[in-house]
Amino acid sequence: MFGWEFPPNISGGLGTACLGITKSLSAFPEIELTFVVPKTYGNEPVENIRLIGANEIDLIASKIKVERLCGPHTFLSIKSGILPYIDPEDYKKICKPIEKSETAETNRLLQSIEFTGKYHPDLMTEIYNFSVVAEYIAKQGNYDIIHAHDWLTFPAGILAKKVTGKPLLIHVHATDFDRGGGKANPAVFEIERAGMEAADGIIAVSNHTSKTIQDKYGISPSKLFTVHNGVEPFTFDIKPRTSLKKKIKTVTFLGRITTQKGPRFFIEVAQKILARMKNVEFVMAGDGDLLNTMKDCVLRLGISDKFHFPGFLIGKQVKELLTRSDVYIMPSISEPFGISPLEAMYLKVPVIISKQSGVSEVINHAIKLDFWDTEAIADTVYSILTRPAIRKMMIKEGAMEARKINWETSASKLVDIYKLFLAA
Amino acid sequence: MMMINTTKIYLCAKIHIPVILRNFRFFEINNSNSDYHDKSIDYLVKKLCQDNLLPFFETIRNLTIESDFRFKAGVSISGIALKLLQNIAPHVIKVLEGLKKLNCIEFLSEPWSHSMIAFANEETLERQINLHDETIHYLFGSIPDVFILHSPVCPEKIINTILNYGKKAVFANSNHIGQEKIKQNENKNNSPRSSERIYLIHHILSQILQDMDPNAKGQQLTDFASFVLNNIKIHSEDSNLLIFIYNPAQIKSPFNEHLAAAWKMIMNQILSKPEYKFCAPSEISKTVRPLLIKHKLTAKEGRPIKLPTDLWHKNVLQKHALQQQFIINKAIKDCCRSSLVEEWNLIQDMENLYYMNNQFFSEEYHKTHFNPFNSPYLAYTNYMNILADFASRLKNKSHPVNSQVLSHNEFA
Repeated sequence: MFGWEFPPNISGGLGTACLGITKSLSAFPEIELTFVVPKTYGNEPVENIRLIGANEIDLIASKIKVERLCGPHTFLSIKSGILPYIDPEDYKKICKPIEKSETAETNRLLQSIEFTGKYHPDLMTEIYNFSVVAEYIAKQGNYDIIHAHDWLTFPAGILAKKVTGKPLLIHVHATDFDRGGGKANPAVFEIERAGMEAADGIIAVSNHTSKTIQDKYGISPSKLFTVHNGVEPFTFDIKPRTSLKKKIKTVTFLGRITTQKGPRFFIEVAQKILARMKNVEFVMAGDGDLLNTMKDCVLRLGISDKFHFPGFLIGKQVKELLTRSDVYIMPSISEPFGISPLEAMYLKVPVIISKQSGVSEVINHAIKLDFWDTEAIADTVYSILTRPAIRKMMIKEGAMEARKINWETSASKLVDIYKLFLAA
Repeated sequence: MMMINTTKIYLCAKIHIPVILRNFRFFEINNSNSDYHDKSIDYLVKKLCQDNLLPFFETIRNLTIESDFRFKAGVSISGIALKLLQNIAPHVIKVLEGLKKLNCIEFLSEPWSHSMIAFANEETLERQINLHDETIHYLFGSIPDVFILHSPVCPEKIINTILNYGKKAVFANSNHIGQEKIKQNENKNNSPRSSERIYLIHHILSQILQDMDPNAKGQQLTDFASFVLNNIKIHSEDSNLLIFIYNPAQIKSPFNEHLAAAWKMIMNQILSKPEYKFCAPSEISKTVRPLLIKHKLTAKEGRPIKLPTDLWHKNVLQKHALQQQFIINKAIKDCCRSSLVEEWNLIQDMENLYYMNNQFFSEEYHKTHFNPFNSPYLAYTNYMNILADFASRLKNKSHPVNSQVLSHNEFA
């Protein structure tokens, strides 16, 4: 299995999903799982799986020809500032000039490749180098299935399939159309399409994503399987929920502050609520290319005193924010799945989600609205904040529902898909 | 000479068309100038009349005439439905008038509003019955003397109010009244007159008829007719009276020619049996035994029977909305503005509570049952906004609504 990140060293939902999947798959006695990432840090919660960092591979011992790395290859020639979660055009505006020392160049004198495992500007080089090392790793073991998570690892999957002849399953957690708010970067699109065409089976995290794959990439539905994500139970101590009678109500947005996630709509909702209610604060947690634009926007609207921008939160900080939230809103323009609303529901927070999200396919006790319909979103926020009946019912039923959506179910479906390809 | 025990069959068509409330946002509360109604109602009413009501009435007319008036039916139609038909499809009122003149149908009495709040207290109920009776009298020339109870919530003393009001009998759903209550009444012997005049609607047989396959034909249709007849036979062992309710507006397709054919086949088979007799509601008499249904389903084991309980008054959203209705209802009795009272009669419809029911969390149920809202939460939010605005209008234009009683800050 090839992935790009693994908790706690993550930048987005991909790592969280990979942890959930691997953890649940490892419970199946018939499965031996090797998970390969560009870089390991030593602090990963690994149990019953073999975690390999591509940076650990000894180039001399492996006899990987150094010429294959960073050579005059198509991938290497794209020295763009593409990040998987940021629109490349927007990135150019905010990205600092790439300093040579910051790039992850292969040191030809060293024995291994110093992968960063980050979404850095020289990402295309790293993706290619990762695929070369992945090919080597695939040759060493006797694997039955190759499973690659998202476009960053598709080249690795393709090469691994080529050298082993084993079935390739690619797992699409998001497409570039989702990340780009409807537009796709041509280079990323090509990698995604190549992966989809080379794959024997494509696992989409929702029917919403499955449809995007069919419509935008022209892939036959016969290759597609939908396996919805789950939510990881919280194991550490969570402070009790803040009293429902607290004077200042908190409405929360949690995600990358990018076009895809619809932060502008969150601000529009806030504006409408604040025109009617004064005892409400809005928290926009996350980082992204639109962060400063959003800060300017609330300043311009004269509601900055009601807004908080705590930046990128991780682990316990996320849980702490959610436990003091009265409403969670996910107004994404396009969301392949969206695990965080499930986490909010798990933590007894009423949730409003965009209809254009994969998670809306598996939950009933969230309010589902069009991301652009800020009047309707504001209306339901008002209702939840002022009417105990709806708040109590959403909290109770939502938490019960979230507990039923787990990674075990997802893993079980994946095992069935593996069996299908092993039997073929 | 052999005596045949005759089972009397009362077939009642239930016609109710709710007013669909428009999207009403929170920022309109205290600021609204227009009414609460969705403009799409015109189209929906016209379509319903064309696809369901008119073909159904035509079937009733044909059955009555072809059977030489041995087939009889009652019609329960709400005041709201009558008002909408008068405004949007007056030709349907003419059709009903024609059927009444021909003695094909007989109307039943009920509260003007199709609501639970109509049963809030004796005063409200009397006002509502009066209004409905007057409307029926104005349109069709007679006052119905049998009352039909649709509300899932009805305090026991209210039943007595209805009977004391001069109604000959009450047709009630067994799930709503509860057989235990009737048994208790009989045992205590404290209101024998009441219990003798309550007749329970047979919800199992009603459901079987309601769920008829609109595409059944040939052998399938013959089998279904036998199934219905068999069930009538089984259930008539418990009583010499069976009351069915059929809602032509609540079937999953238009009332098409297959359904019309099915109806004719089933009713003609019943008519051909000397042991069964169709009766008009007014023909109810003390000679028939009040029905205490033993709910058994002996044919087609496993067939799901949907019990008409809990659809209006189960979850906290419904309970809260009903509580607010009670508060407004209490306040409106002192209101002298007829436009507000009229508006209240329309918006108190219990369909608004039905749209909040838990079944609508299921996508499958949502696909097969009409609901203008995507989820019970949205139905609740919209309705509560409307109630909040109405309460505010009531407070401003008439007797003040006690803001302490209204528990939410939106009313303050």
